[in-house]
Order: sequence, then C-alpha cells, then structure tokens
Amino acid sequence: MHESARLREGLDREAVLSRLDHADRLGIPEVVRDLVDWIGLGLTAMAGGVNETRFVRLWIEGKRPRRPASLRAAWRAAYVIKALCGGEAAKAWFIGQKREFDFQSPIRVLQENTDDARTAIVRAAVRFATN
Amino acid sequence: MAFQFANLPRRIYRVGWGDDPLAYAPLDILKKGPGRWDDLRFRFRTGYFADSLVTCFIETLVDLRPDPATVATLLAMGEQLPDMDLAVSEALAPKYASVVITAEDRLVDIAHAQSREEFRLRARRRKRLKAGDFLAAHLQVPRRAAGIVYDGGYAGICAPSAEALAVNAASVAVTYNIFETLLDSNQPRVALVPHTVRPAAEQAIDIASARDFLRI
Repeated sequence: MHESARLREGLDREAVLSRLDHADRLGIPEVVRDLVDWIGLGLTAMAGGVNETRFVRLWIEGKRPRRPASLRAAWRAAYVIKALCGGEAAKAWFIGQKREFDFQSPIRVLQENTDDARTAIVRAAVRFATN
Repeated sequence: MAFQFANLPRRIYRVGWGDDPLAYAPLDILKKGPGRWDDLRFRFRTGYFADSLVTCFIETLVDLRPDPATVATLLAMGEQLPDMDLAVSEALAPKYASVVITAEDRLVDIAHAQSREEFRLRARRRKRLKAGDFLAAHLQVPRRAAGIVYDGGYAGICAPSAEALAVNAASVAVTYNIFETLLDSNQPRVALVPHTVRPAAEQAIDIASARDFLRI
C-alpha cells in the first residue's frame, strides 16, 4: 500500500503516537542524529540550547549536551510531524509562531528548558499532525 | 437568561484526517493533543467545521507562519529555511477537505454577550467573561464551556475562528464545533450529510487564499 494511503488509515496515527516514548530508550547520539536528519543542524542546535551547529557534531560523537531532556522533547515533536506529514512540514512547524506560545516558535519555547515547555510543544505537535 | 443561538449555514466545511468528514478523532489522540472545544474530562468528542474551506486551511496551516526571531537565528547560523510550498503540501497530504450539508440546527453562539453571561452563571464564575476569553490561546475556558454547553443538551458551539482573528483582527471567519451524542457513538448531535470529500492538497484555490491570508 502507498505510504500516504497507509497513513490515512486511522490506526497509523495511534501507532505513531505509541512510539513517542521511544525517545526515552534512544541514546542521545541517536536522538541528535535523527533530529539532524529530520529538522536540520540549526534547529537541532537550538533544541539543545545553543546557537552554534558545531556542538551538534560533538553530541553525535558522544559529548553530553547541556539539555538532553529538551532534545528528547524535540525528537518526540519532530517524530510525530515527520512520520505523519513530512520533514519539511516538521521544520516549518518548529520555526512557526504559535498563539499558545505568545507567538513564539516551539524551538524558542523549548529553549526555556522547563518541563512545562517540553510538554507543551509535544502536545502542540501532536495536535498539528493528527487533527 | 439563556444561551444565544446561531443558525448553522446550509453547508459547512472541514479539513481533517481521513476521508470520513463525520468521523471524530480517536480518544487516545485527543488526550495527547486536545483542541479548543474538547471537553476537559473527555466525556464526548467534538467535530471541527468552519464556514469555508479557506477558514479550515487557515486553522490547519496557521502553525507554519514563520517566527521572525527564529528565522533570524537560523539565518545567522547559515541554515536554510524550509521550502514552504513543500511544507504546506506535506502538512495537507494526509488530510481531506469535505463539504457537509446541514439540517440548519442551532448551535450556541458562545461569544455573544448573552451566552457569555449564561456560561458565567452555569460555571459559577464571579467575573464576567469577554468574548476573547473563549478565543484565547489558553484553552481552559473554551474547553469548560464545551462541557457546560454539552451538559445543557445543545448540539455544539459556534464561534469566531480564533486562529484567523489572531492573524487579522478584522477576520469574520466562523467555526462550527459539533458534539457527538455520546462518547464513541461517532454520531453528531446535528443531522449532517457529507456532500463532497476530496484530498485537501487538491484544493489549490482555497489553499492559496489561506496562504495569502497567513502570508506564508
């Protein structure tokens, strides 16, 4: 079955959402590698709390980032949009301003580095991709 | 005092997942990302419709409007910005655009002063509410209102499109949010008949109008 036709079947949304917790089982280098694939170096750097892409390569090589929880939240949000819509939509979503975040983008909200911010962006990503 | 009603137009529109315009989102999904008019306790589900496909597309694509500060940061890092044509087509790829015929049932016009006062009394709130409280980014008040309107036996809620108003304060776009009869019944409280169902991405003119409105 064609990918888009398969995705249109309701079960796939549930299957994708059931994999969100997979982020907790991945090592940080894998999380970062996926994020680079899906949303690019720049957004991955911002998700990890820095504004320079050189740090991203260090994280992939095993250096511990300052904000691993934010990277895992970014993985969840990126995963659900990438899986159900596509990578470019995921990238645009991370950059897009959201009313619920006072017209900031999810990636800037993630830089607040709080549990509330991380929960809110994953929830917003699910809403965008599944409704 | 009682809720003020709004008549449903003869046709309403939906852009949503799957090719059944009357299907409600699975509960597990709602719980992970509830919408504006979803009950706080998930005792029933809400179907989201609007006055035009353009309004539906505005609500669907509004999250893609670039945040200038983020764009500036990425450009300073030498990063490429997303291809918006591709991003829009991806965002709409799994979705369908539908036209639905209604039986002109009445919904509660929640932004009307009379309805706001009725809600205040039923919710036992001290402070009066402004229309904006139901359209705010924080969803506590509208989700509570959905529960109270549902408990009153009404079919749903009519309200301005919060997303369109946030982009342009002069917007007159309207949403129609219709409750299901009982949880998991998949039956709306209003008689609705699907008219046409097409892949959302094929609605080029309406998508272009929505993108023009959102400037994306």
